[in-house]
Amino acid sequence: MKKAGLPLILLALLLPGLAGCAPHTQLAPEHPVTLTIWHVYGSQTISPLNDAIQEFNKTEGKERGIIVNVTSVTDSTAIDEALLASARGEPGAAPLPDLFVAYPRIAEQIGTERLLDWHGYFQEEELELYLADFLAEGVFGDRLLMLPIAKSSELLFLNRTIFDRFSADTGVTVDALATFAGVFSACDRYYDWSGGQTMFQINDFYHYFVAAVDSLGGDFLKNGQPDTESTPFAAAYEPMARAAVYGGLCVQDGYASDRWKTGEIICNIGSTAGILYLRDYVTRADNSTEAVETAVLAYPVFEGGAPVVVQRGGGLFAVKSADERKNEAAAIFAKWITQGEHNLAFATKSGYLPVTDAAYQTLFSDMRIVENEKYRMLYETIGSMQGEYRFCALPLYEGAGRVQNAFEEAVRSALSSAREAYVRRTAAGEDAAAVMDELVATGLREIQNGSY
Amino acid sequence: MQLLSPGQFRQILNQARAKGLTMRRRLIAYLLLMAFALIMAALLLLSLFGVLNPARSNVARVLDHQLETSVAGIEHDADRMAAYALALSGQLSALVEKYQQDNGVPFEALKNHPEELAALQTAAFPLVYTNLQLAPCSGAFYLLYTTVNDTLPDEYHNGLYLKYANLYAENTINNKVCLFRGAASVARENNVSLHSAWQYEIKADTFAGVAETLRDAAADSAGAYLLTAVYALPDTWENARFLCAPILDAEGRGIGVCGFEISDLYFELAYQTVAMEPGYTAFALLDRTEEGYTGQVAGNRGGYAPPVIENFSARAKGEFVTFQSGELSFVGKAREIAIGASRHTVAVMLPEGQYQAYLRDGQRKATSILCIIAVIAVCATLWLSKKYVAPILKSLQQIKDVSMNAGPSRIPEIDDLFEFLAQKDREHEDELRLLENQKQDAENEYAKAQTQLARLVEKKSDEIDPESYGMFLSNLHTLTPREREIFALYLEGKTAKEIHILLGVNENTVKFHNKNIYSKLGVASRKQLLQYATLMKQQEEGSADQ
Repeated sequence: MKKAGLPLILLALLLPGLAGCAPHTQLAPEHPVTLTIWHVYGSQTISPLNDAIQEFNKTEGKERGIIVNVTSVTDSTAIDEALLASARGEPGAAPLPDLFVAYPRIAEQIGTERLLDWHGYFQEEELELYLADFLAEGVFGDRLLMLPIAKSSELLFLNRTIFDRFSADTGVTVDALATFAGVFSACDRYYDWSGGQTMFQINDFYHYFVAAVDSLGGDFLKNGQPDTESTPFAAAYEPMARAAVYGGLCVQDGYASDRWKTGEIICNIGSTAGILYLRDYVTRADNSTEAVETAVLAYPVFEGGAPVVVQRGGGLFAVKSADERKNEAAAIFAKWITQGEHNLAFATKSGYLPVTDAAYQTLFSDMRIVENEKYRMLYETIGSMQGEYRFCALPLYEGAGRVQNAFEEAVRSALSSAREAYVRRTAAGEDAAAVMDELVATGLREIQNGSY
Repeated sequence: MQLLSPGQFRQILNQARAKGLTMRRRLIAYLLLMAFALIMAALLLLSLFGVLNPARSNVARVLDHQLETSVAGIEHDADRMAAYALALSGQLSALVEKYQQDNGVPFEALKNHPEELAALQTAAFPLVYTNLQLAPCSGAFYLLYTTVNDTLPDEYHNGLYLKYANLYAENTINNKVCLFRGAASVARENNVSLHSAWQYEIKADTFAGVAETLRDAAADSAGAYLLTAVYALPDTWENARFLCAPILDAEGRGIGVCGFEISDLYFELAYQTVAMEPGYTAFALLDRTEEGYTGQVAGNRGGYAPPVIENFSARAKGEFVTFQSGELSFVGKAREIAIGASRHTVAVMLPEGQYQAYLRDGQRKATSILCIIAVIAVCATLWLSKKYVAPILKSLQQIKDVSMNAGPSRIPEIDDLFEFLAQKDREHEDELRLLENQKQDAENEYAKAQTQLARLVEKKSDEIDPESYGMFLSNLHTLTPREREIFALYLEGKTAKEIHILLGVNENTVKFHNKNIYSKLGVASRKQLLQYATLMKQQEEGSADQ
């Protein structure tokens, strides 16, 4: 007992001291560490995330010795391609950034072992601040590789000014756009009314089919691949394909926001964040402009289906670094940008949804905090969809990114070929209805025969 | 710890002066003084040659090196871009001329004809696209001094402006291209997306002054290009500058401008700096303005990239230039260069904070070395003084212990001293012996004299009446104190006159006491009194000796 006494006393003296030690940090303001980041918030326009990062650099970053350096603002597809090129070390590829914003589909392709597990840098109570569904998207096995930073859903955007002119002449009302059947029907009417202009564009056909098949009670995936043979798939395909072949639905490459600029389309479904790119004017061929009013409508529902909409938005990944300072700095930045008022401010300036429970509650309990009227309309629409719609995350499976791209390409290719054939054959005097039926069926077969 | 007051210190110094310092302390003081003087001299020399704290010269060397590399890099890239810009200019001139010939319309007739201008853009697209891929740039463009619609409130120029949609690195081989300015139909034909801040035409005042400068510069073929200042690209988060060349018609008149864009991001990716010992240096290509400088900054990892709208102020400070932008401060070096008809300043800059931290590091190292040298000097002084003084102290102790014959000290001066002291000892012993002999002789003489005196007393006592002497002895105690006092003075050999002066009494009083003394002691004269007294004294001394 006597022998054990001294060590015990020493232990008793040491323990409080050890318990009181501050967590060890290697960061030092006088020797700042620089983190490069690729993100998708803002593209080439004004970027709200860049503004937030600048604020971080001037405040928390300056105090802690962290500089976040934005080296690319782009779209999710371009980020996927660049990340893969970097991860594979392809000639001409840039080195992987320290931080990037991407969809979870990219994690497996880059290699999950190269990514930082946020669990090591977040307390359990810190993770509890996030909305559980959003957080769950970033879990790979027992590792949290993607941290939610901002989420979006899909809505229908409408150039109300031109639509009202169309409506006045044709009697097609905004209410018709509540269902896809109504939208596709309006496309045909618009095509005729405008003298051959497209009215509507779907940015992501893959998202359209995920939501449609889910809505109609089917499973989008079968054996880990898109099931293009299912009845719900065909039910979702046919009205959409008819509108495309007729010409009212745009099936060309490029984002809807491009054609919105020139008035080549007046309606599209896309991410809530798309509002950042939808101008309040259109530019004509003589460089004159016309001011337009934008309307934000709920995601259309499918005839006979349940209201379902895709929940979108990537998350923040960090590339694991041998320099522990970078890992620690990445976690500090991640906490700063995803928590508290910074997240709410950044999200509402970008058309995104905040990711913490508190910020989410704050936003939907009083939307007056959103200063921009157009953006407030966006959140009001999402608010009206809550409770009625089911928000489904994109399915995550092996090769999801590659399959999504291939599927997208197959649908566009099939529909644009069908459209070209339709124009050619009807111009040649063939029966339009028969040609339509044939081409729609051919298009489906092409999609079904696609390699995913 | 309470420090000594100046008074206390002076007191201690005076005491030390009065008492003297020990040999060792004296030696320590001298050695320390010498060490201090040597260290100071070394410090002076080392600091003069920049060896003591090389931080400043290191920074200067690094910045000089960076500046050389940066100037060479920017001049090389500008030269390449200028070559491509002039080539593009020639190709576009030829294209416009051919279009005019084929269609039989003069250049001025293109105005307000969207179809013709779009057709021209379609024809020019491969030229612009190819040059974009070849030149070290982030965008390529041309604009013609004409428009699809001159009835609009603002003046526009028609042309194509292609940009990389996403920049990740200086290498742009895999980057998608988008249309920043130009006809949307041309973008569709070439499967290129529109930039999110796309506009059909280029507003005439977007790049103010460029066209005018180029018109002036066009006369000089060698200087027929320039690098513009930095502009904020409308509706984007980007800033960019342009290397421009004029597009001339067959008569040599300027009909437009073409060239390449260097965005801030491309500039930063293309001119990455590396971390050197003092820290991250930033590289800047600046343009002089009325307020100071403005421009593009790359590799600014140690600070925070200042927005381009802010100006740098520059001030020479010794061999460096201090750049200030808002709260940001840099120490750097700068050099002016010419790119075609424009002049710019290339600067390499180290954030002031890092520079100061690096200097402090150097000072800390120098101070540490100085402290170590000082500690070594003190220790060496103590050790040396101890080793030096120890044999002397030992020898002194030997002297104290009278053990000089213990052996040689192996210090010649000490051995000489020992010999000298031994010689002195021998001389002192001789003197001592002589003195002892003299003392012995004196003692012998003294004994002889005592014997003679005793014989004399004995002889005298035989002449004295024993009865009278007996009365003398027995009546001595009857004398009054005053009489005894006068009796004692007589015994000391004093006369009556001296006694009355000494006692302060008159002569008669002395006589009166004399009479009483004589009467009481039974003597008749002063001579008899002194005789009896002497005899008595000798008898008392004789009995005391026995």
